[in-house]
Amino acid sequence: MPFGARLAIRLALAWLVAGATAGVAVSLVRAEALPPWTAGPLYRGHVASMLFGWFTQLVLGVAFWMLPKFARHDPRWPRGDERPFVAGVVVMNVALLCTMGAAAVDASQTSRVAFAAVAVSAALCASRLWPRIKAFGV
Amino acid sequence: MPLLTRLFVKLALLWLVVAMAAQAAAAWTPPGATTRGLQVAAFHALAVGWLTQMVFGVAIWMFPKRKGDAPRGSDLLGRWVLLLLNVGVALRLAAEPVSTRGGGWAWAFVAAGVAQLGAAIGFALLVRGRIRG
Repeated sequence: MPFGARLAIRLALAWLVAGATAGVAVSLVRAEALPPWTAGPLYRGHVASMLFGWFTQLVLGVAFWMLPKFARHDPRWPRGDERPFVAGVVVMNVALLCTMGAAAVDASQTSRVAFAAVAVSAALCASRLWPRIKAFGV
Repeated sequence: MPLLTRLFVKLALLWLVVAMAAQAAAAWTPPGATTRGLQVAAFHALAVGWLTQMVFGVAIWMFPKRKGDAPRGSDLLGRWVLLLLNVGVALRLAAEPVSTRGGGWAWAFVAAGVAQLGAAIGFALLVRGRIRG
């Protein structure tokens, strides 16, 4: 398993646990064990963690691992240059952390910038997966 | 395919059917709090019962194996993950439509959430050593 895939899958597992924790916290608001004003930020954190941090990142990591390698490749990079993919994963995680922080303090401008960064990171990762969706032997 | 994976994948398929049935039931119920509850429960059945459970099962099967006696990790831990995940989703599905009646049902959500969190932690521990080069 290449470094980029390992990084993405490990971080996806961390977001799964974080997202499930946020889910428990959301249910605590419903049980009136946490104040009502926390419901919005916790719910947004729960959804972003599970949708982007867990599902999206896991799929990207497994795709980077499993999609066909290049038949004629640089020996160092059988899956193409890995660095943009790793950069994409790093940007996605930093942006998601910023999204969580922004939700906690209701900083909508920061949240908008963070979601734009998530979009950039998705483009970086997709750019490394795109050429590997190809016929065998190419 | 190992037994644990088969159990995860078959239960995932069952939750897919249950989620779609809950969604259909919501569409046939007059709009109100019960409908909203059914929709939320159906979404959880789909996201956790179907998608997450399918991911867990396939990951246990496909991730690089360890050397030694338990190449796919502890079978007991895997069974606990299976149990907690499914009990969590079932509890959530059962509690959501009736929670509008009030009472102590809100704590059923907390229990469901804790069970699913336990499953998430258990799965992370189970595959931790298998994410390697």
